[in-house]
This record gives sequence, structure tokens and C-alpha cells, in this order.
Amino acid sequence: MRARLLLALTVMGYSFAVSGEKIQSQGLKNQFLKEELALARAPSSYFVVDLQTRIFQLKASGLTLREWKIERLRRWGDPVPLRAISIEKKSALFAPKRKKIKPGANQEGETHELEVLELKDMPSSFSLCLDRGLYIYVRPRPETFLSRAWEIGRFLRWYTLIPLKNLWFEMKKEPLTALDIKVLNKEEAKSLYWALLEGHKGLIYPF
Amino acid sequence: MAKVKKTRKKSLRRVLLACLAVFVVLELVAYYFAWPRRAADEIKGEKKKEEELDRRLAAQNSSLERRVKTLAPRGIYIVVDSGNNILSLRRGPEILRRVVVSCGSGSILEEPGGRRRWVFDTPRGGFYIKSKVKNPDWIKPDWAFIEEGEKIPKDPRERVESGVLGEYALGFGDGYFIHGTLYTRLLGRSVTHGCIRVGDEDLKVIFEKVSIGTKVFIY
Repeated sequence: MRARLLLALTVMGYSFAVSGEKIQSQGLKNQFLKEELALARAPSSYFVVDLQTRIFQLKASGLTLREWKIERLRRWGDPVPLRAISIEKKSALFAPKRKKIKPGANQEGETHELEVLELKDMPSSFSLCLDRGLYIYVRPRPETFLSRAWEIGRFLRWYTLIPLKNLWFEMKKEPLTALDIKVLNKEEAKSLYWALLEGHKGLIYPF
Repeated sequence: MAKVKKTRKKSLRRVLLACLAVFVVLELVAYYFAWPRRAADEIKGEKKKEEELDRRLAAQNSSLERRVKTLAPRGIYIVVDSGNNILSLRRGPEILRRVVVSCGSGSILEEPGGRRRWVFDTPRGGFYIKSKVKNPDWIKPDWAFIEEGEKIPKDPRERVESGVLGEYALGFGDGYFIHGTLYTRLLGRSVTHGCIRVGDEDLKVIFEKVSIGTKVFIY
């Protein structure tokens, strides 16, 4: 008898917990969809990072223009903000520089010396500083020996410096969320850098 | 002398150990605060009348999803991947035609004297076709003369150049066009002043398929 009662209480408790979780996730989805509707009404494109399905999307008018698969995801700090956020700064160790045209030097005919900024000139490792204390670090899967060695530095930064930075922000009573995103390869990372612009708005769908 | 050296070594070791201990403690505290927190924990206050709330939220969510979907274009639309210099003509999820184009070079031109400055990027975002022109003439803007090291003409007739934009041009605002090119060997490279250059054959198909108001998305 006592065992049955215990079992019934456990089942009841579990179902309450499940329904609570369900409402929480519906609530999150609701908030997210309201924000997306506002973004989709604007003429500019916006990004959506779905941490559940691990997909980085570029969208416009509710339409997906391009998707990037997130191969690995790490996170520190506060929950991601449930509101539209914007990219304040895009930074990279080797950020591309725009080339200046020299007036009078016609370049159309010279294919070998085109002074242009192309996808191949974009960095494959970069960070995005967004508002509401959100930082996204993007890097590709290491392919060469050098990039594997470089990974050690990134590992140390992620597991020592970022928690300390978070502690510093905690002391200043400022929010900080850090996301570390690994994409499939260099080309994917470069195209992501290309597609995202400073001032670009977007959403992050949480776990 | 040896004793002094030994005590120095010992005290250095102690300082190093103390530093390490402080670092470890600091890291542990940092880990405690940095441990990822779930967004769902923040909305626990909304647990009243759970079933009713759940139903209401689910209904609201499906209506919101429908509203987001209705914003997407229904007919043909154009998507331009300016990084890869690819234009695709689409209807819903279906790609009708995929074309290699040339987009903005991202270069900068400064007027001698530094009064004006142009950045030759293809604009990004959502636009729509505003004009369709057959056999278009190019009205050369000031930067075209500055780039070539020529004097800006006072007579507007001197700005007109025929035949350089191909047989068709589709305007999508602010002087930007999807047009033809004489430099077909540069298709696939980012070389333009912001317009989107397309090969003759593809341009004809695009021109025939799209109409005024067709959506253009550029990223």
C-alpha cells in the first residue's frame, strides 16, 4: 500500500514537472516568435541562432536565406537574452582591410591585380560582440597542424580567461553570456563572417 | 651564501605556490558564477493554471508561426549571395535558376582633396524590383569620372554611355541595378561598384521571369 502511494506521488510529481517544463518551453517559444515576427517585418535580414538544433540561420521576411551547421557549442554565463540583439562589433586577429582605388588606374582589364575584397580574404576565426553582454566566438574545425596547435590557446582562453571575465562582469553587476561556436570548415566560417554585419539584428533561441 | 640561496629559493617557491593557490581559488569562484544558466529558469513565475496556459500558449505560437510564414514572398523572388557571387531565382523553397554574377568590390574611392568618399559594396537586406529597362544607358555618376581620373562634366549629356549595361537592367533602388556586362570573364569575382552584373543569357531569363515588385534578398 505504502509502495503504491509512493509510486502514485512520484508519477504525479513527475507529470507536474513535465507540464511545468512544457509551459516553460512554450513560453520561450512564444517570446521568441513575437520577437522574430517584429524582425521579419523589417526590410533588413536578421540572424537566428538555434541552440537546440545547433543551426545558425540568416533570414529575411521569415525566409531562410542561408544556414550554417554548428558542429560544437560551448557556453558560459547568464542565459541568452530572449530579445532581439544586435551585433555591436565584429573582430578578428586578421581582420580584412578594404582596398583603396587609385584614381586614374583602371583595373577592370587586369584580372591578376584586382584590388577587391572577396570571401577568401575573410577571417575564419572571429568574435562577435553583441549587446546585452553577449559574446560569440566562431572558429572552424581545425584542419592543419598549426590550427590544431592554435586550438590549445583557444582552449586555455575558454576555460580560464572567459570564466574570469564572467566573474569580473558579475562583480560589476553586468550580464555576460559567452558562446563558442565551431563550424564545419574554414569556408563556412568565412561565409558567416561575410554574411554578418555590424548593426545586424538577430535572435538566439536558447536550450 | 648557500644558505641564503636556499632560503631565497624556498621563499620564491612559496610565493609561486601562493599565487597558484589564489589563481585556483579565483578560477573556482569564476566557474561557479560562469556555469551556464538556463533561460527557462527565468520564467518560472508563469506556472499558474498550467494546462490552460499551455493550451493558450500553444495556440498563440501556431498563430505566430503562421504570421511569420505569411511574410515570405509567395511568387518568384531573387536571392543574391554576394560573398560567393551567386544569384538564385526562387519560388518557395525551389531554386529555378542559379547564376554566377559579380557583386561589389568592397573597395574605397576617395575624391582627390578628400571631400567625398565611396565604398563599393552591394547593399545587403531586402529590396524589391522598382524598374525594368530594356537597352539601358548608363548615366555615369561622379565617382566613375573620378575613378578614371577624368574631369566631372557639366553637361549631363556627357554622362550618358550606351551598351555597357547589357540588354536589360533591373533597378532595385538607390541607383543599384541587376544588369549585363562586357566583362563576362570577371563573373564570379567581386569587382563591381555595387551593382550586380549578370551574363547575357541568364539576364534575359531573369528579366522575363521577374516583374516590378519582385522581392530581392541580398546577403
